[in-house]
Amino acid sequence: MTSHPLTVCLGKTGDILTLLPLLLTEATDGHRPSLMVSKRYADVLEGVSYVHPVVFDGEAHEVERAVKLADTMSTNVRPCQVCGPMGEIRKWVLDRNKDVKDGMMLGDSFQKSIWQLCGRWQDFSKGYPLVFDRRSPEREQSLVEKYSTPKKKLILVSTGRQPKQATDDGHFQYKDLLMLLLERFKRLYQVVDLDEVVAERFYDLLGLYERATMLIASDNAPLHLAHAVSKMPVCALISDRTADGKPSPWNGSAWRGTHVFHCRYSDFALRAAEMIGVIEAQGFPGDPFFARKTPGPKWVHVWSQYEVNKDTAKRHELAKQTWQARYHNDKSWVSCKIDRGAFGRDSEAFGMEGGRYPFLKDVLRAAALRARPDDMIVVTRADTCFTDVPLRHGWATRTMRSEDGDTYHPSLDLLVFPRATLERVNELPDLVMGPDPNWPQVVREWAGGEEIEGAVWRPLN
Amino acid sequence: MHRIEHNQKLAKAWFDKRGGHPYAPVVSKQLPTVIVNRRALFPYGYNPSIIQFGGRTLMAYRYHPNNKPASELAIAELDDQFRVVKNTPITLPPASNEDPRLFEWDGKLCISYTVSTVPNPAPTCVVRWGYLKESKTWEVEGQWLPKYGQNDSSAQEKNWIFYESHGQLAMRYANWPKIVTLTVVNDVVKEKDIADGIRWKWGQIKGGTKEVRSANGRLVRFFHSRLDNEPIPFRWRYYIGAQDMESGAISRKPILRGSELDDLSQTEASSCMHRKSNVVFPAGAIATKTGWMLSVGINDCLCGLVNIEEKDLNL
Repeated sequence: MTSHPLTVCLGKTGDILTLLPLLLTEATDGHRPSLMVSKRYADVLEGVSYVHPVVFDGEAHEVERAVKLADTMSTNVRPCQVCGPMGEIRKWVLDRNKDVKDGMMLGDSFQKSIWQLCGRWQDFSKGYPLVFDRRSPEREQSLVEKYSTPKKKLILVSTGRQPKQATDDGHFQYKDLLMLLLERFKRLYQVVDLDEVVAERFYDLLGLYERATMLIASDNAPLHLAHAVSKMPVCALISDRTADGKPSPWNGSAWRGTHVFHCRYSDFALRAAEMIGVIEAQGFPGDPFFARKTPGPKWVHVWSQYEVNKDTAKRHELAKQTWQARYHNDKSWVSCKIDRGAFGRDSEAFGMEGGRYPFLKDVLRAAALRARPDDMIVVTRADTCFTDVPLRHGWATRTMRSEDGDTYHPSLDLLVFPRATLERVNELPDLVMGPDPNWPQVVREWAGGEEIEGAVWRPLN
Repeated sequence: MHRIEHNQKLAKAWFDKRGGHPYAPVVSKQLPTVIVNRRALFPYGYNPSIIQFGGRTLMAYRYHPNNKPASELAIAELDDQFRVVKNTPITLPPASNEDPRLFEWDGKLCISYTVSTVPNPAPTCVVRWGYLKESKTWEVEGQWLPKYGQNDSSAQEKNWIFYESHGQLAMRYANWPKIVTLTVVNDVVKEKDIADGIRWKWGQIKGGTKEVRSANGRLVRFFHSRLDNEPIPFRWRYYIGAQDMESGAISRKPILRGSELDDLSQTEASSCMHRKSNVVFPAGAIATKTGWMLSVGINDCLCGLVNIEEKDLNL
């Protein structure tokens, strides 16, 4: 019996990968945090040196038996498994945790809830890296040689099946559509279906990941593994259903800074063409990965796709043209679109009237994940047009532009502040980022700065 | 709950906790301002027009006796510290007499003002002018009704600016889409001059003051504008700008903007039935050593004298 913490998360692979960045922060010289996992998923821990694996000789759903066993091994057991038989999860995980009231977990995604159960909910949004420090270059190279050709750029596609396991597409029903859409890229790209790739160890895929131009993945382990490769853009197809098919955005993975496209399963049929546009835009100004090829601080442009609807679509298209011009003229811009459904909670999910919009803090936390310490955050509305006025720490109100001339409008349409400001994001109230004036007024007061005259405009109609 | 209601509640609580607010600063915090002692005026007097005449500083203003909808006019005399030394009503025929503007013509003190049919549900108004005579009260001789536009009680004519120009009485009638300037003899319009209008981002340019040359020689006039694009419940906001009358340049951004707040206490504000937020209304200016003293009405309940320097003009 030891007093060292013993974390219990029997599986699956994605949940274990969610925990590894947290455990890495707890590893110190001479101490490796212990993690109890089901033997079915234990081999993923062979790829890391900083975790002491405690292999449970049972299946991932045997939560009660595992926790009871853990209690015989440590006086400091930390159960954090969120998937499994609900009765056992409630009794052996949630009710044992002092931070969980009435079985209600925090967070808009199961990943954040896992961190909450470890007492680290606030830290999830810090974007700690996923590190595999015991990789096999030989095995990775073997996969690269087998599955990729050097002359073409590589797009990896995963829709759910894990290597050496039976096919499980989960609730993503559009694989055929997806593969059909990708046909158009086959002249320039090699499209590799990861569902067909057999790797000795799951993390051997990292060699292919580092070679890839992009990963398109449904909400399964290969998507979670992508967090280990910060330079690979990801089109993330995210679950919004429970295992038995009930609507639940919490069952989807959290937004990551590498997600250039983040789409819920139920939205995919409508947004598939948009994903093609995102793939085509890679390598152009505004693309986060393109901009990072040059050193120096960037302008991280945050805007919410939730604001785009039939009334604003035309203005949004016009605004995008001005953004592209700005991105093109000044190559230091990083676009940070907040896709509809990016987060597991929004105003509609909270039963509010007045349309579906994200929560401000979720948006700003997402911006923090995409930005680097020296960057500036630029928040606009989806239909805000840029002028060529230089930006600085501050804010700008809307100018309504028409053939008759310009008219001032009090709406705060531009907020610019240093990335470091986001360290204080928890000071903000839980406002909805909709088309009302309240949240920008709060952000202006919170972030400070001076008025930037003439920086933005919007057409009158 | 509606998401806007949710946001309003949280934003208000957040600002309350921090001790701030999301509103425009009070007018008296935007530029150095003397709030004329309202207790020395008739209750909640506003929309003042200041002038220096015969070695005296006079300020005409409007007020609502007993909080009635119809307003009356008065003139306060101010000392060199802008303290009220005398406060006298102007005697006029019964009506809602509004927005007085003092000016000098032919060496005499004159006044223009609006005569409205308030409290009629669809009020109309006309502009009159006349010579001021001081006795026990102020009397207005003439009370002429220049025949121009719809100055015949069929519409709302207001914000006419009278001034002396090349020995004649001139009047700026409109600023947009054309600048219309008239020459007036009593109630007859003699000449009309039309020039291209000036557009301003903060709404249609209206009213304001006659042109006033500062001690440094800069000749400007002040004006107001209004935009009806503020969120509920405020809906509108007034702005003040200036025009350099020699170069034609216009303020790049407002010199002053109306505020949701003012210098009244909450109790005072709630007892003033005609108070309206976001209003700042210029009607007179005098030259000072460093620029201008602009008289402004604040939220239809206060008289302010704003000290404006050249740098504040945003020209």
